[in-house]
Amino acid sequence: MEVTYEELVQKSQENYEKIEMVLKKELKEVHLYPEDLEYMDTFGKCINCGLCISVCPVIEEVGINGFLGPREIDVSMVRNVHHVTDQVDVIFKCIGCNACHEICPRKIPTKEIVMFLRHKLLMLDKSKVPTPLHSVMNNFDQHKMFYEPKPIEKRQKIIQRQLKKVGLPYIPDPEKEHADVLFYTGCKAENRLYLMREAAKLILTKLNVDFTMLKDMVCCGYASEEMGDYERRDKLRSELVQKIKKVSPKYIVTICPGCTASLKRIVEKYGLDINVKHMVEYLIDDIGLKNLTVNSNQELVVTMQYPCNLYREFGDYIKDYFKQILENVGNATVKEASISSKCCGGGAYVPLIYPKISNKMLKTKVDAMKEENVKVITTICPECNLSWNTGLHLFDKEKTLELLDLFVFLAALLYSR
Amino acid sequence: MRKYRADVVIIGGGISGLYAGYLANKLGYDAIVIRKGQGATALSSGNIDIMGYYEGQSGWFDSGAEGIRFVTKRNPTHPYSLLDMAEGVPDLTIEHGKHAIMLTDDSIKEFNTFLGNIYTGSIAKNAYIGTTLGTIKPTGYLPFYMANGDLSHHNDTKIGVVGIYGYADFDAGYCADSLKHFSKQYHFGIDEICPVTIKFKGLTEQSNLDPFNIARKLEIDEYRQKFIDDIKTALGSKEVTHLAFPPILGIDNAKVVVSDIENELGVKVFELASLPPNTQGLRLVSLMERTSGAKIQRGEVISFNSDGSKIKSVVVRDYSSKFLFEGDFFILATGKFISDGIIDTGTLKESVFGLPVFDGKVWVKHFDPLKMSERQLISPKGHRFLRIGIRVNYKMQPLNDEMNIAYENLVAAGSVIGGYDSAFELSGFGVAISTAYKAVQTLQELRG
Repeated sequence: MEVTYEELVQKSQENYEKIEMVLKKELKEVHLYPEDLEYMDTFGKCINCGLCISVCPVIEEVGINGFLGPREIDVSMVRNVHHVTDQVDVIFKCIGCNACHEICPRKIPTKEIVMFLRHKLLMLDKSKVPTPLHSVMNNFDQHKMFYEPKPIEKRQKIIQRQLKKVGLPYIPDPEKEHADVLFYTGCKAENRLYLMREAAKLILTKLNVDFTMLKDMVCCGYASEEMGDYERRDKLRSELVQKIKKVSPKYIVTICPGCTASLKRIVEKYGLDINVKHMVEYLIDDIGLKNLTVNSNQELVVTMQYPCNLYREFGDYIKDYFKQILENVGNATVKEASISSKCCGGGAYVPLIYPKISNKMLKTKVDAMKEENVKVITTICPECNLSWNTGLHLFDKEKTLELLDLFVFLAALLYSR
Repeated sequence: MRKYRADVVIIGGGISGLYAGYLANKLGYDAIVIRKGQGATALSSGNIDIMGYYEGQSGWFDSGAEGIRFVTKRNPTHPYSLLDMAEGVPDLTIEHGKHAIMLTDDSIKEFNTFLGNIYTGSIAKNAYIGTTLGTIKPTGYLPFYMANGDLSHHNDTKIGVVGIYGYADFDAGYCADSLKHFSKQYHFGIDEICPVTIKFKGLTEQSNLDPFNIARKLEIDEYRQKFIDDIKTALGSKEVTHLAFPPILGIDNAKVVVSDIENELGVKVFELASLPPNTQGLRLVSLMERTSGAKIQRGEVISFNSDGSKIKSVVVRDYSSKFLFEGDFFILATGKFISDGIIDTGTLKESVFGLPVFDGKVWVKHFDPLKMSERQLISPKGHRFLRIGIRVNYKMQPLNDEMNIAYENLVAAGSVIGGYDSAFELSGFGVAISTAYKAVQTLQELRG
C-alpha cells in the first residue's frame, strides 16, 4: 500500500516537532547570536562541487586528511559554530589566501568565515587558542604592534649596517605634523624588515613627495582581525584613526598589502576622505612612470611573488603594475612562474602555529622555482619577503635563488642616477 | 573608479564565454572576459555532448545530428531550432535541422582547432562512454583522455577498472559490476570487466584522498613510476587490454600521464566521465584560459549603464574594488543557477541586465519548486526549472517581454539561454559552443 499525502504530512509534522525540541534544548545550553545565523546561510549556498579543494594550497601539501579544507568549513562548521572548540586545528590551518573564494561558483567568503570562527573560539574558550597567539595579543596590548620593538639604539645600528651593505644613504624620519602623504609602514617593516622601510622612505624623498610618518606606529588591526580578535582590532583602529586625523593627509601610502586592505576598510568605515594606496599603485597612478625612468644597464631576469592580500582584494591590475615598474624602471625582463600567484605560505598565523605546513609549502615553492630556472624572486609584501627569506634559508643551501625587494631595488636605482 | 575599454566585453568565463573570447579575438576584436569564479564548465566531465535524448524518443539518439533533426521538428523554441532559422523563419525548402547541424558541426570543429585538436568524434555518430558510477552515456566528442573509452567500439576487450584505497569517491568494484550489467544490456563487445584496486605507495599515509592530490602527484615522474609499478603488481597475472581510471590522470599534464601509463603497461588507457569534485572540467577550463587569447578579468558585474537601446558599460566589483568596463559589444554568457546567471529576488530574472526569463513555453515570474520540478531526480520528463533562461531570437540577441530586441549591442551564449535542459537532453557543450559561435557571427554582422 502506498503512503497517502496525509500520512506524509503527519510524519513530517512529527519530525518537525522532534527537531524543534532538540533545538530548544540546545539553545538553552549554547548561546547563538544574530551574526551566527548570518554565516549559517552559507551552508545552503555551497553546492558541494569541491573546486575549492583543487586550489587550496594547504590541502595540496597535507592532503584532505591533514586539513579538511574550505568545503568542510563552509558546509559543516558554520552549522554549529559552538562546536568550534573541538576543531581548533581546522580553523587555524587556513592560510587565508582567498584562492577558494576566487574559484568558488557561489562566491562563498571562506576566509571571512574562518576569521569569524576564530572570533567565536576566542569568545567561547580562550584557553583553546594556540599559545603563539597569546604572546601576539600581549604585544598588541603592550606595544600596539605585532612584534615587540627592538631598543632604539640597537635598531639604529642594524639600519645603518644594512643600508651600508646595499650602498644607500640614511635619512632620518620626517617629523612634519601635516603632509599630503602619510607613509604607513606597518608592523613587519617597522620591526623586522628595516631595509624595506628605509628604501620606501628614500624613494618618496627622492621623488619630492610631501610626506610624513607616524611617530609611534599603531597596528592597522589586520593581524588582530586575522586571529578573530575583533575587540582588539577595533581598539587599535580607533586609536590609529585619531593619529591619522591629526596628520589629515590626502593619501596614505603603504608597503604592506595587508595594511592596504585593512586601511581601505578603515577609511570607508570612518568616512575619511583619504585615498589609500599601496606604494606600487601610488608610484604608477600619481607619480607616473615617466618621472621614475632610470637608465639602467643592468640585465636582470626576475620572477614575481604576487601578494594574495593585494591582488585578490583589489584586482589583478596590481600584477600589471608590479610588472610595469620592473620592466620600465628596472629595465628587467619579467618572467612569470607557474606559482607566482600561489600563497607564499606565510599567511594567517600558519607559520607561527603550524610551521611544518608553512615550511612544506615553502619547500614546494623553492623546488618549483628551481625547476623553472628562476634566479631572482621579487616581492612587494613584507609577509612574502619574510617567508621567502625563511624558505631560501632552509631549502636553498646552494644559494641559487636570490630574493630581491622591489623597493630596495628601486631605491638603489634612483640613488645611482 | 578605474575605467577600462574593450571592443567586446564578455560576461561569464565558462565554455561559451571563453570560446566567444577566442572567436572575437581571432576576428581582431579586443576582447575581455569578466568572470567571478568557476562555473558549471569546471564541474563537467569535459566531453562535448551534442544531443543524447529527448522527450518522446525511445532510447538514445545514434548521433548528434539525429538528435538535432528530432528536436528542431518538435520544439520551435529550442536553441537548436533557433540556430536552424538562417533567415529568421524556418526554411521549409530544406530538411529540418540542416542549418543547425551545419553550424554546430562547424563550431565544434573550430572549437577543436582552438584547443589543439584534443577531441575526437563526430556529429554523425555518438560515442558511448562509461561513468564513474558505472552507467553509460552518449556523447558527441571525446577528449584525448577518454578517446579509448568509446565502449561501443570495443571488441573482445578486457577492461580493468582501477581504484585506489583511500579514494572514497570512486569504488572500482561497484563501478565494474555496474558497467558489466549495462554493457550486456547494450550488447557492447566487451569480454570482461574486472576491478583492480591498488595501494598507491606514494600516498599510503593518507586515508582520505581527493582526486586533485592524486592527479598532482601523478604529474611528477617519480610518483607516476611508483603508480605504474603498483598497478603492475595489482594486475599480477590478470590480462587486460584496457584500463579505466577515475579522473586522476593529471591536470595540466594529462597527455604525458596517459601516454606513459599506456607505454609502460602496453594497454589502452581512458578515464571515466565523472561527477564533481573532478579534474576533467578544470583541465578544459585551464586549457581554454591559456589558449583563448582574450584577457580575463576577475569580478562580478553588479550594474550596467545604457542609453535605452545600447549598453554603454558595466560596473564590475572585485572584492572591495570597483571597475568600469566600457565596450562596443557585450556577450552575456553567465550560465544558469549554479553560476548565478539566473537569480530569484522575489521575481525570477536574469541577473546582470534584469532580462525576463522563460521555460521554453511561457514567461516565468515566480519560482515554485513544486511546479517546476519532477518528483524523481532523474525523470524522463526532465525538470522544468532547468529549462528556465532568457529568450533570444535566431541571432542570439536577448528579447524583452514584448518580444523586442532588449539591447542592440547585446548577444547571449550558453546555458543562460532558456528552452533547453542540458542535463537531461545531454546537450550541454553542443549548445554552448554553437550559440557562442552564432553570437560572435551576429557581432560581426552588427559591426557591418
